[in-house]
Amino acid sequence: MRGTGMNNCEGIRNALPLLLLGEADPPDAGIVSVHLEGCAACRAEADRLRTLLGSLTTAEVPDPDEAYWQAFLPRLRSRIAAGALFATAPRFRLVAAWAASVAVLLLAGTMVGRWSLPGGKPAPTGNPAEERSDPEALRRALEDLFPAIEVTVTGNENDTVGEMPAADELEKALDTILPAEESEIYTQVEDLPPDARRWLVQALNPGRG
Amino acid sequence: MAVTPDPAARDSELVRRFQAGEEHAFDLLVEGHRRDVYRLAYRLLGNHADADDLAQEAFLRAYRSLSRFRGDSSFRTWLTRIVLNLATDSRKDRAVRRQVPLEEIPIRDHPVQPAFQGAGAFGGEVLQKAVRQLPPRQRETLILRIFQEMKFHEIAAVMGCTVGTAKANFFHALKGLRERVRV
Repeated sequence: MRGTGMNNCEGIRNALPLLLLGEADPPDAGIVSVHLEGCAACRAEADRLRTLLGSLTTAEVPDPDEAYWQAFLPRLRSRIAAGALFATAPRFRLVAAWAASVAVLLLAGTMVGRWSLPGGKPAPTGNPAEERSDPEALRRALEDLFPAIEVTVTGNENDTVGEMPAADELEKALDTILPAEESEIYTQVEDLPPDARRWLVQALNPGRG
Repeated sequence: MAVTPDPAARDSELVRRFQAGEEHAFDLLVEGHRRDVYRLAYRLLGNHADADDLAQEAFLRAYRSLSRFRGDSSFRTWLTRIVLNLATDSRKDRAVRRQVPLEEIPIRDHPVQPAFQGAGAFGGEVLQKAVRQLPPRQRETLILRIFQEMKFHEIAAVMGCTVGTAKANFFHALKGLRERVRV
């Protein structure tokens, strides 16, 4: 841009952004500075642009608190771990890694057996699949994944959780337990397709719906 | 005397260590870039929920691809490109998502250092809205230059264009902003 089109106000004004950002070539900066000294209109233009750029640089992004940042990497690691299990499911999107984590936990619980009623916690066996069938262990695992949500997991010896729904139903189902307010959880569940709702509600709180 | 490591050199070393099998090196890369990635995502998408999703997804994709990263560009440039691509996909594919109102985000106070005299003449919401109304390429160029403080040659590398095109996008973005905020 050296000297090109810098012999009139239009050329000068085109050079102003780079000058104000400190990125103009020194010869161009010199030419602009000299012009501004003698041109009130271009000085006014520079002031307006300076004000705009100043406003932009002070328009800050709301910064989440430290708890968010401390949880950022653990959440990411959970998604990485879950994503490895569903690497061939292209429809999984942003919630998929979390959904997959929960799905694995819940599926492990159903495959091992029916859940026992609270109060009869078995002793730890060292077998992750068996330990996840314990409602209390499952509740803790879910709350680790979704710390803002208080999970109630109860069992009934006559209830079994049905087949896992399709990937997109699962994604939608688990997306409903990620809203900002916990009170929205049960009302949003009502809007799910019947199979997804039944599965999700039974999995998280068999006493309802 | 302690020497502050160059950020790009530090990133290159961490990438090398990750590619050699050290998982923790990726954690250090995340911790070094997560705030920038989040802020860029927020400026691109306009709300905390989407910015959080995008930031997490960007690092997830980076993790999956990092073993193949050849270092043709800096890690920061490469990661920024991932963020922009995801933001573009998000705009195309996503329906209206739940948004967390700004007042519900716990905000940590920190001082703002204006880079220019006469800063802050326009309200944040007015400007944010005007920025979001810019055409995507202009908006991205503006955000990368002003908020990510990238040089134009870095912006060109991220966006896959020439330096001249990056500058032109930036100039058009400023012009568009001025028309919208009546400067």
